[in-house]
Amino acid sequence: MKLARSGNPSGTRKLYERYVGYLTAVCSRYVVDKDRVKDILQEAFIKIFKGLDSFEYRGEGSVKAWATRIVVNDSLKALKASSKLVFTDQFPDEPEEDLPSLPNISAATIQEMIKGLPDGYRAVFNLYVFEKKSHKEIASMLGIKEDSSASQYFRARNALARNIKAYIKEHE
Amino acid sequence: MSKNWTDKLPDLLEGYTEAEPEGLWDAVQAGMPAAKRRVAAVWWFAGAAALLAAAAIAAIVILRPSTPDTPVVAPVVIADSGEDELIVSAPEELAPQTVPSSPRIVPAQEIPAESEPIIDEPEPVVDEPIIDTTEPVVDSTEPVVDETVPVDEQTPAPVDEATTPEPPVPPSIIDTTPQDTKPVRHLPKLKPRVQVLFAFASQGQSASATTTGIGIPSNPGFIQGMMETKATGAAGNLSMLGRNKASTTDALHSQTARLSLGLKVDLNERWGIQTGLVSSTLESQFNSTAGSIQSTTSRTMKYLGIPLYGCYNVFEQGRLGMYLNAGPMYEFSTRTHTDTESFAGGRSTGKDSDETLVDDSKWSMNAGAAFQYRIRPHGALYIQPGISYYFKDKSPLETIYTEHPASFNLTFGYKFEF
Repeated sequence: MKLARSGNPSGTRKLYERYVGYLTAVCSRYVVDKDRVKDILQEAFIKIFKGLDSFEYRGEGSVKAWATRIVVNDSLKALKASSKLVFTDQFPDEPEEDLPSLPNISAATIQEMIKGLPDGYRAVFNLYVFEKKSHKEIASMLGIKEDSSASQYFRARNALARNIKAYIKEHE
Repeated sequence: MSKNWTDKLPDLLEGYTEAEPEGLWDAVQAGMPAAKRRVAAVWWFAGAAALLAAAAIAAIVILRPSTPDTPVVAPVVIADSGEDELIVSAPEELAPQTVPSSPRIVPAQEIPAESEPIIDEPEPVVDEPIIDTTEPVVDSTEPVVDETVPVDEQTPAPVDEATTPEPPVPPSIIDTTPQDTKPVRHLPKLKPRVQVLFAFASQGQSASATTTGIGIPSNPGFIQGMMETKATGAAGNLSMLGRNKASTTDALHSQTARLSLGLKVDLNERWGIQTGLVSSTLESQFNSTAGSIQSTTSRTMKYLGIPLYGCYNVFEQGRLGMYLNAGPMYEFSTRTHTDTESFAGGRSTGKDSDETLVDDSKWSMNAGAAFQYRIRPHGALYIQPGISYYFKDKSPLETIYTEHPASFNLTFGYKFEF
């Protein structure tokens, strides 16, 4: 970290290698298109390297959280700009899917299932589940109503539960 | 039934990684110095312009005494002021070539009334009377002409008509030696000119509308503006609320005042170069509508431009003058301010402001015809109608430059000259 902050090329390279895999996974949860993932990560890493001077280091976790925040924000900007995000504030009439517990399923499988959600569902679901944002915060971040955020989350959660059930049934 | 199965997802994916996109590191590395290269290029360009201007000034200074190109047309008037010296009257602009190392200025009143004006015998250059032999010259601004005693009547020597037209008598009489009375050459007057000008571009405004089936249309300028808006802002993208509704974005672009500071250097009587700094403000407003949902984004961008123009002086007569200029200008963005406000059912749902700079640069070709009116010895007002053309590039940004690449403009300015 010290090397990276001093602008040492090997330091930035090590910082990059330490987080690129994780940040790629984070970005891919929001944006599916691989070319756009690359563009977002490129901009994000440039911001990270440029921002190291002003970053207040508080341990390993702080770097990861800070870098993740940058990637998530850039991913949201890209999603907003793509005009693919569509939302509704109407709750569906469908019942809530019943999922007793998270079964023994690989991270890669869950990741792929999340990627398979519609863009709007996925953005809200990721913010709520992984970034621990409240619906009020999500509404503020995305410029939507709280009801819309809750509705999107409900739909995403149901869709994911159905997919997990189908996967389990298929592999039993 | 458990509703908390989603709580386990973060732990499950905490250590999950994916293969990085191919070529990402190279792209990051290329992106880092790219910004530096861009800034460096701007400074190199500015430095090159400054060097060019300095070289032009140096060339003027060096070449001026050794490359006369205009034959003498001004008069040299000689009068006898004593036994061994002549009094030569010459225009001020001839002084560097005609005045000896230690010229002595002799007031006209000191000329003895009895002294007769004489002409340098080998090459007489006077064809009209210059000294009133009966009364001292008092008004030095008026031609000193003795109507009753013309010089050519007093001096039998022939007069060279070709080299001595009829000029006004200069205001002073300069003491010199006979050898300095040879024909002299008049060099063009080279004036470096510093211009301070205030300009208002008349590019006007343009509007564009895009409609898509669902969500916000992919308006490049709007996208760029939104991408630079904070993700945590209260005013978000309208498209998120516009599900299954056609949306339209109208874009309105304009340019407000353009402020310039320029340096113009004349290389000779006709040609010159001009450079400087040009500050421009571009404004864009994007209005998006999807059903009852609306969003308004106002974006203000500041650009700094470095022009390098060639100038051609058409004429300068009395107080009036005209010159043409044309050349390229490089502009780059220096500030971006974005205000976004969203409305739902006519009520505001949030506002957001952002100051993140949107990188952009433009090349343009410009040409104009300047008409000036001198109101002071070293100052002139001028007006310059002109035309600009902005070249297309790969930038997704939508501005007045991209919507109206060719435009007319009108420049008002004040020019200091020294």
